Order: sequence, then structure tokens, then C-alpha cells
Amino acid sequence: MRESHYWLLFQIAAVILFVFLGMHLVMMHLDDILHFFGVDMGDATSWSSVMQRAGSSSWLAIYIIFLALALYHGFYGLRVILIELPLPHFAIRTINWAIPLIGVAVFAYGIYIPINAYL
Amino acid sequence: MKVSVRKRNTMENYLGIKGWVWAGWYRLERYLYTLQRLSGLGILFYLAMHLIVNGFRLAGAEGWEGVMSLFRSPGFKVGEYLVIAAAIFHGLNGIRLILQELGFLLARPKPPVYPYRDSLRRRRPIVLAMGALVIVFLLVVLIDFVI
Amino acid sequence: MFKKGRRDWTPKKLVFRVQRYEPTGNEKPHLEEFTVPFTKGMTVLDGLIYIKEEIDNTLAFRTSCRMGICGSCGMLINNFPHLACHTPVEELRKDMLEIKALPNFAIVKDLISDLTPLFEKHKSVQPYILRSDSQEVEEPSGEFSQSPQELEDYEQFAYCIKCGICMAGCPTVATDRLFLGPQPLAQAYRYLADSRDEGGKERLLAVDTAHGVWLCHLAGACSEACPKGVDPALAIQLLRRKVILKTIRLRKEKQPSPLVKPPTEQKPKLPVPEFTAKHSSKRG
Repeated sequence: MRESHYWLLFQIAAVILFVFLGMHLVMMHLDDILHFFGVDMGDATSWSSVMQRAGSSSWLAIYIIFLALALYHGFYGLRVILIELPLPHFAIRTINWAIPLIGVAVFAYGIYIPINAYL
Repeated sequence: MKVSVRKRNTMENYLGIKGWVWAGWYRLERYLYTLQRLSGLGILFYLAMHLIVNGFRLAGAEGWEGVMSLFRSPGFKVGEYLVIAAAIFHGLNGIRLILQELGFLLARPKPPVYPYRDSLRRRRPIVLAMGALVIVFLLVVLIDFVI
Repeated sequence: MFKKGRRDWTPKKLVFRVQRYEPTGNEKPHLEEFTVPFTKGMTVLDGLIYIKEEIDNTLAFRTSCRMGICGSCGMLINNFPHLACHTPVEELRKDMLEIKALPNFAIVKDLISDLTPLFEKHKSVQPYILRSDSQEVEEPSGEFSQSPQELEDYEQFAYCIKCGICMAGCPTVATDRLFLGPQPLAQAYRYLADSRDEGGKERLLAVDTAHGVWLCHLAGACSEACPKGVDPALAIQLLRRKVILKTIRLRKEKQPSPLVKPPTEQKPKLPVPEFTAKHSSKRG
């Protein structure tokens, strides 16, 4: 895969995240705005609300995709910042494989929790 | 006659990371780039913390409510607002960047006539519109936090 | 040059704080002050030439055309990159001018920067017309036709004078030695957009690398600083669009400009008498 493919995926993830994150922020933090639009979710961060979403397969799918896109976007951005630094070649090569590895590890940890709660 | 050729002894003059933040009296768009980087790193750091906090779900209802009550304290609320502010700026500026980086909201090339105005400056209203949207959203979120 | 309605400005005492660096010594670059007499309409270059001629002839700087076309005198003047010959002192409206070598290049001596990395990166994008019939480019038998609209697609970017000022402003060039930089990327687009060029594939591959076009983040400092209005930032974003269109296989392959042979028909000659004096073979 050439660099253009990685960058394109980065931008597609950005656009999807813009929508997902917007919804996530409004749901989690902005109850009054939801009330304004006539939606009453209660406290979305309470245990009962969290467990209600944990049992839903559609929420599970959404969270897994959301996390994958967020981690790809975030770690690609971090990688771009790091490879711009005046580091020696071996350091750049290390960054290029370490970042995807760390990203996959964080993703695995991140999806373990909702899958655990779902099962 | 022997002519000795002296090896050039130059001195590095790169601005380095300081050049990301400040390189001279440039205009707004250069500093929006700096802010986009900083907000992105801030959000990534928050994401890491967020995933760790979510791990408290495995501690059951008590563990979860314990962590959540900590996050309802004023200090954490300020931090939460800053993260949301960073996300709003990063997202809206990011959408502008996606469109402009593919050449969509930039002007067509035209032969330069003095005084020169480059395409980013000619499309400054788009940056201002984005800035206005950011401010509106920040105010709306602030009102929600305060009420 | 001057904004309309601005009052004339005269400094009380014009001082040039010029960066000095001696490559053979152990000193770091330092600033030296010189008092320069002010004359109306003088440029920063005029001041530097005065210093060299009247005060300190060891001051080293590049200059050639003194009219903003050769690109030799790029320097950092009051923390912004300018061409010294293109910058009137009155425009800066400061009694003290701080003049340093262009950043993001190594300093050779005093105000002279080592532009070799710029030229090497520029060469790497093959900044010349590439045709499948390269024989025609080397030994032309006609011209390649190009409409005014096709010319306008790239004309702005052809005004580049390779002064390196855009590289001095770019935040990515500040840290990344491998990044191609605004000038090579803009020139890659200049040739890509030229309807006479057939080297699209090579150029797109040259810029589609980890340190290629993707490390431009639209800070826009290059276009802001460019003394010729080339707008390299615009060229880079249009280049990015071309690369992405090729990646998602939506890029339309245009036919390159056709060759137009010169007209073979001779125009009818006007009935003008032959003026050449003819010498007769016999003299008498």
C-alpha cells in the first residue's frame, strides 16, 4: 500500500469520526441539548445506562467501528508528527512498525471490555 | 601551483520543533496548523485515558460509580470542557482542511498580479466562517456545562 | 509597493543588525550593528551593499539582478523571509532591521545559505517536459500546441525563481530533512498540469512517498512568503488532488499536446524589387 492509501483512509476515518464523535459527545455530555430536542436519555454515564447499551449488539458494532477509526486516525496523525522529527533512520523505521503494533494492542484492549460486557 | 580546496564548513540553521510553533510574523492559517496538531495530540491523550477509565466497567457497578463520581468534580469538569473544545476545533478545522487540501475550497490558479494575494488569503472568509462555527459550538457547550 | 494613503516615513537613525558567521572560526552566528544612511526609496540590499563598500568589506551575501528575478538575495528580515532587493526599507517602518540568513538551510557564511538541498530535491521531481517522443524535445521539428486555458492551469507556478523563501517558511521543512518541500512539490505540479508533459506517472510516484506531498498540512506560510506570488500551497493541494484521483482510479488520462509542424506553404512574396547589387563578371 502506498502512502496515498494510508492518507485516504485517514481522511475517510476523519469524516466518519466527525459524525460519530459529534453524536457521542452530545449523548454523553450534553443532556440539556438533547432535552431541547425532546430526547430524554437520562444520565448516559450511569451504570444502568451503560449496561443497557452493553447488551445491545448494534451498539457493540458501533463502538468497535468507532474505536477502530479513532485509533487509526489518532495513531496515523501521531506517526506523521513523529516521522517529521529529525530522527535517525533506524528510529523512523522503528516508529513505522511500533505505532501500528501499539495501535492494534490498544484496539484489542479497547474491544475486550464491551465484548466482555456483551457476552 | 597547488590549489587547495577547503571543505565547506556550514552551520545547520533549521528551526526544529520551535519552527512548528513560531517561525516569524506569519498569518492566521499557519497557527491554525499548530493548534490542529496540539488539539489532535490532546485528544489522543484523552482517548488513552478514556479507554483506561472504561476498563473500570469490569469492576462492576460500585467501581464504575466510584470513578464517575470523581469525574463529576469541578476540576474534572473543566478538563472535560477543554477536551470537548479541542474536539470541536479539531473536527471543524479538520473538515475545512479535508476540503481545502483536495483543492476544493481554494481558488483557481491565475497569473500573479502585484500586490499578490495567495489562494488561502483569498479564501479567508471560509476560515472566518469555520471560526464563527467553532465559537458558537463552544458557547452552546459552555452553556450546557454551566446549567 | 506602498499602500495608498500611507504617510512618508523617515527613520531617525537606520541601524542594520546583521548576522555574521565565519565558517572557519569556532564562533556561533552573532549579530553585528551597522549604521546606514537612509535615502528615500532604498532597499535592504542597498543598505547591505553600502555596508560592504563603506564599512566592512568582509560582509558576505548573495546578490545579482537587484530586481527580484534571480532569487539570490533571500534573507530573514525582521523575522520574515524577503528578497533583500525587493524590500524597501520604508515598507518595514522600523529604525532597527534585523537581517539573518534564511532558516531551514545551512549557513555557509554570514547571510549566505546553502541551497543545495533545495536544488537536489527540485531535480528529483524532474522539472522539465517529459515526452514519449523525447527525440522531439531534444531536436524539435515543430511546436506543441497549447490553448490559453491550458496555459493558465500552470502559468502561475512557472513564475518560481527558486529563491528558497518558501522552504524557509514551511514548518515541515523546519524539522524534516527528507520532506520534498513547497518548491519541488509546486514544480512537480507545474509540469504535471502542463498539457505538453507526459511524465505524469513518474512525477506522481516521486511525490507519493512518506516524505512527499502528504506532509504538507496547509500552513500556507510558503504562499504567504513567496515574493513572486507563485502560491506553492495551491499547487501542492492541486497535486494532492491529482494523486488521490489516481489512487481511486478516477484520474482521466488526457492526451498530451499534439505536435504542430510549421506551415509548409510559402507565403506569397510581396512585389518588392531586388535591392542586391549585382556585379557583372566583366569590368570595363
